[in-house]
Amino acid sequence: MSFTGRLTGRPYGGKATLASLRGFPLSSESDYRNASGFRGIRGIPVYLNFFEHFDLMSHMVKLVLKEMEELDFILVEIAMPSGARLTPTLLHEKVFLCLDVNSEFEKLRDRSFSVLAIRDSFIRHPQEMGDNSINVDCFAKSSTLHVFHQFIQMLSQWRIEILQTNFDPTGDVSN
Amino acid sequence: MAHFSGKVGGQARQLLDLVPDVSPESISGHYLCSTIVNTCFTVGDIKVSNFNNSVAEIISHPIPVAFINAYECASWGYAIRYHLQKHPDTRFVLISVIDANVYNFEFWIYNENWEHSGFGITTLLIEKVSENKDGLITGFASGHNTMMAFAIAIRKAAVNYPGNTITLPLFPQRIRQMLESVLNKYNVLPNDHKQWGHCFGSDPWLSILNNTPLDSSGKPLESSYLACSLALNGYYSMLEAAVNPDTILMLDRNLSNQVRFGSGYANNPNANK
Repeated sequence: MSFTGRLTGRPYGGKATLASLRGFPLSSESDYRNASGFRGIRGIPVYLNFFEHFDLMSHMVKLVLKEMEELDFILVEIAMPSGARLTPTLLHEKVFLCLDVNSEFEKLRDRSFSVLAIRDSFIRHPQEMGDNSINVDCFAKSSTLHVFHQFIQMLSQWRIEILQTNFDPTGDVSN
Repeated sequence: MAHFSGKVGGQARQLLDLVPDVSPESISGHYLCSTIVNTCFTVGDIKVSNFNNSVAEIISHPIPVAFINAYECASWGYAIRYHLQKHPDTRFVLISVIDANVYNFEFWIYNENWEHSGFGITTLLIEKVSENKDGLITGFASGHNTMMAFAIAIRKAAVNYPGNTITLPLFPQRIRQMLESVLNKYNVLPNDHKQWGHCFGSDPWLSILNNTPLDSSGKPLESSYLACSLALNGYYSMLEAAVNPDTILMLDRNLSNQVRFGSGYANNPNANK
């Protein structure tokens, strides 16, 4: 089962919030020169800050932990938080935060673990690369299908638009 | 990228060549753990999957590679936690703690939090990690004084390891004094911050490498440790780690001399077999 979507607006509505760009502390001429090469992708809007990103991921993981208890692992592609603190939910023992989530998902699936993987490229700073997309892959029992479907529907509350879904039953861990 | 991944993979390869009796099949995972190597991925200069694949190719053993930096200096402990869930009967796990100042930013060289930094690669081959799962503790130091909460968490854990020597992160002496005041009933390895700076997740391993007593033939004497790392954001890892005469402890002094308090990366191979 898989899902591809895109963040299309501020997930927290019209509420004012600090930009909290968490810009890296540059102090010398060489620092500025070296950082001048980080250009990001022009034209991709920034809809959330670092704190809101972790908060959003935390809400998603909390939902999955509650509704899909049979999952062995939840993978989330999160990099070094740059000053924002991970929430206790993201430090849960079933959760593993790593880079290159796709590769880790395949390793777990090959060992017949039930796993859900969240990979997003939400931009928190204009110098970051990304396109505000999100992918969720799930390898679990077919009984989980309806929960996964509900999970995807709930993403709309955070202004995540569904681009593509795949409820292919070949993803059944019991097969 | 090739130079960087070459250093990481090369050191792991060098270590595995020293232990020919360890079959690659018995090493079920290789975790690349970092605190500061991140920007090169987020700005698109290096693709992390290419980096991981490059490291795996250099090692030329079929050991799955994963890159973790979300838990900062405590990443190695969270990697082991995950690995034990994935491979509960694993015999060996391979960890590379990688901290290179890729863009030579001054903040990483010196800042008010921990003063000087040290950069390098520490490679650990840990055996029998699955035989004592309780020996691994991961957690979160909450509250206003993270450092004090960390010290109290260590003191609580150390009750179960009364004979073990505690290895703390390398911090300026003023911070270490505060930590050690909470741990005054326990043996703590010396603070080598003046020599090495703060070396992120490598600190406890570098301390073991530098301070484990050796016998007259140069072999390590049996020593039991509680290796502890703390992230700036409060996540911590602790691991009961034993060194015995078969343990290989190795420091590449040629490279390490180049990087004391400087940019670039060192080789600090630390085989813990």
